[in-house]
Amino acid sequence: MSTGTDPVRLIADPACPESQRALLQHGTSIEPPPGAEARVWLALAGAVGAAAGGAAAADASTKTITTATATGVKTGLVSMKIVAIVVGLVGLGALVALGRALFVPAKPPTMPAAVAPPPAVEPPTAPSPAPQAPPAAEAQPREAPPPADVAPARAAVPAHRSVRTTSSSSARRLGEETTLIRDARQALRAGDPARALQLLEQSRRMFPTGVLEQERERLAIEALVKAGRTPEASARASAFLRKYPDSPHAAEIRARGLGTPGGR
Amino acid sequence: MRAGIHSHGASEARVDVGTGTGAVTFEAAYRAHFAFVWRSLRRLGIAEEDAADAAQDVFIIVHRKLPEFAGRSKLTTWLYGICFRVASERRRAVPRPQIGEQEAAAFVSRQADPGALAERHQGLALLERVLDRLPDEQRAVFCLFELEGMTGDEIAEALEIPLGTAYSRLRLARVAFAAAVEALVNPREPRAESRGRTA
Repeated sequence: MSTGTDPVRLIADPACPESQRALLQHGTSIEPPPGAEARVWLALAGAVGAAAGGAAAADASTKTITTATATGVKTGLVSMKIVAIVVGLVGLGALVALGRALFVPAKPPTMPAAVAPPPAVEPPTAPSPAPQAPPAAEAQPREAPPPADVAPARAAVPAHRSVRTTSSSSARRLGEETTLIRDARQALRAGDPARALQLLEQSRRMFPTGVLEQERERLAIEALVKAGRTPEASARASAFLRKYPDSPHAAEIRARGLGTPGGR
Repeated sequence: MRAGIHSHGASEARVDVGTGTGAVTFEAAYRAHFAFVWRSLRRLGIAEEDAADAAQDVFIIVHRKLPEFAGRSKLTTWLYGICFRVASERRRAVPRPQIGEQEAAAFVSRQADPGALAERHQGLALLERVLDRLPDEQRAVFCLFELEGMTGDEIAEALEIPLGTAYSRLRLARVAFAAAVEALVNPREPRAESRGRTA
């Protein structure tokens, strides 16, 4: 360790001009805003699923997850560890569900309690956003963990869905859904909100109550804003807030001043 | 966070989650280091509104590569390498608008007393603008050393560069940083650095 040869840090160096030290002080206290951690976690579910591609899920692992989830919030941490362990076999669905069911209560106290209610049926107005999809930076898929399956995911959301076992067709659908969301996110990032909205609308038509519905809506709202379609973005945001008032994305949407809880 | 520098001492970083194997679970890594990833990305020039997206990118990669992380290094240094690549990629895709000379001067002129910068609400924004003037590689070393409190060795490991390179980047970054701050504090004075990288 050559720490001894490290120079004195500017912030601790009396010889450093005050203007520099004062400025540096601002950089030492950067923290994520409240709710960001839970929000990203929720969005990660979709992204990880996308990264995983769409393979058949493993029933055994899926069941493990579902069981762990059902055990309740207090076991959240443990469950999530299980998720991490079997995530290679499970995937998006289970992660989404776990994120919703467990992460929030177990985590940031600033968050509204339960994250998202299970997707309802009536589709929102515009194209919907989903969580960000794939990693921009390193796209080379490694050994992508197979995605889980929609059924267990929903089953994990208390009471609203029945527990089903994984089927390859649902896994395939999940793969398609995540791919659309991923592509939309990439388009948005590439500065093409119109294309993003197109993909999101396609996703909404194909998977109106898909696992990634919340994320899809979030992306759509962002795309509408970037496309300069503020009134539509606002209407869509209002619809989102009505439907998912406790979603981790809701705080972000409110923070951006989009939508009104009762509006639209 | 406290007003000092983030500690990178023994209490940090390695997240051995009681598996007996030293393995790190994805969730444990996420929980322990989300804030680290967030602030690293912010210091690397990712705007507040884009940080969630970028953090997600980072953790997607973490999710994929965690099995390869053999604990050879601190988890934070490994994570930072990913943050650096993600941030560079994003900045390349969507370059941040560089602050112009006039804009900078106007900005600073509103900051009546340079000595009170720390008290200014826009302090962080100002810092970001100054850091924006550093090349990515220098910026990374500078932030890790001056703000994150990493040692030269840790920085070299995180960025996969020789220690000597880390030090030389730090020296260059300090010169550039000082010049950029000076240019903002005294906008009417000649700026040595404006010849170079200022947009």
